[in-house]
Amino acid sequence: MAVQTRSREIMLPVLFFPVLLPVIIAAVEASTRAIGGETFIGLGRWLPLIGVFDALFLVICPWVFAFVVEE
Amino acid sequence: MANTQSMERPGSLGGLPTLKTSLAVITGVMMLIDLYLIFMVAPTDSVLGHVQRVFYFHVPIAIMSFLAFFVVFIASLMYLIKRSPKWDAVAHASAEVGVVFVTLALITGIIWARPIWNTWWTWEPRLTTTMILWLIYVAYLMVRSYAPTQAKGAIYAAVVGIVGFVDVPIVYYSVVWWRSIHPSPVVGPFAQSDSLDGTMALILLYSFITFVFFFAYMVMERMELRKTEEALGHVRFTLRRKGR
Repeated sequence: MAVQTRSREIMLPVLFFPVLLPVIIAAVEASTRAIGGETFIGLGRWLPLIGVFDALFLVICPWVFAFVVEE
Repeated sequence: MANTQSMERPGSLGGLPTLKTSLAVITGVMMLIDLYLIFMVAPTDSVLGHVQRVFYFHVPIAIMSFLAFFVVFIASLMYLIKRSPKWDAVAHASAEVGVVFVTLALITGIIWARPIWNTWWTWEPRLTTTMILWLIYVAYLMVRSYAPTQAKGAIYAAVVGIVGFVDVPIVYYSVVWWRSIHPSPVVGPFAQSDSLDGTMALILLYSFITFVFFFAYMVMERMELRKTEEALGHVRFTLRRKGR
């Protein structure tokens, strides 16, 4: 999608940064704890948050993908 | 060919213009009354002073911007399913008006934050989420206008409209949890809304209704503008072909 647009170099970060922000925050927080020696449960809400994000986008993306690549 | 094009003049289609004109008149009158209520009738806040009056603009505008993106979401879904350009026109108009509203919400928020929180901006969850929302819908408009063809732009934009809207609650929770772990000292006096007195609440409600009308009017105006743009595009296209 971003490749097809004009000024494609700008479009990719502009499109993806805001959408990916929750995953970035959650991943950074979870990694900080994991490196700090926390247990799996100690990672708290961050793993479920990534899970919810994944679940949602696993449903939406395959459906929407067909529209983007058609023709 | 050229004759049939010039026949369908936008704005002269039955029903729509009268509805739009009446909406414009209603919005104008309501807005004037709203201004009167805000600056003359509403009591001055005992703690925050006159600055508090920006609240009657800020809150309705912020709520309306969320509503605008909900409209974008629904219209985008409908466009992908039905492929009727009408839904795309609704999504497009609503997104543009929505971006203006979010920008206004951010600006009025900044004006309010400066005297009350003693800072222009703080990375408080609600502010951060609003900022991200703004970014997503600016990207939405960029994708639309940078797409190779208008039809593709409509589809890409619909995809961004759906993905962006679904993403907003996740962004909100991620930022809330993130900030609650790194608490910031400035988090504002949101508790004020509990101490809202009767007149203030009524004026806020009235102001909100005014902005609903204003939003509806702006969206209709934008949709008609788009129709004009399309008609102009057709005329240009046929003229260019005749020129060759």
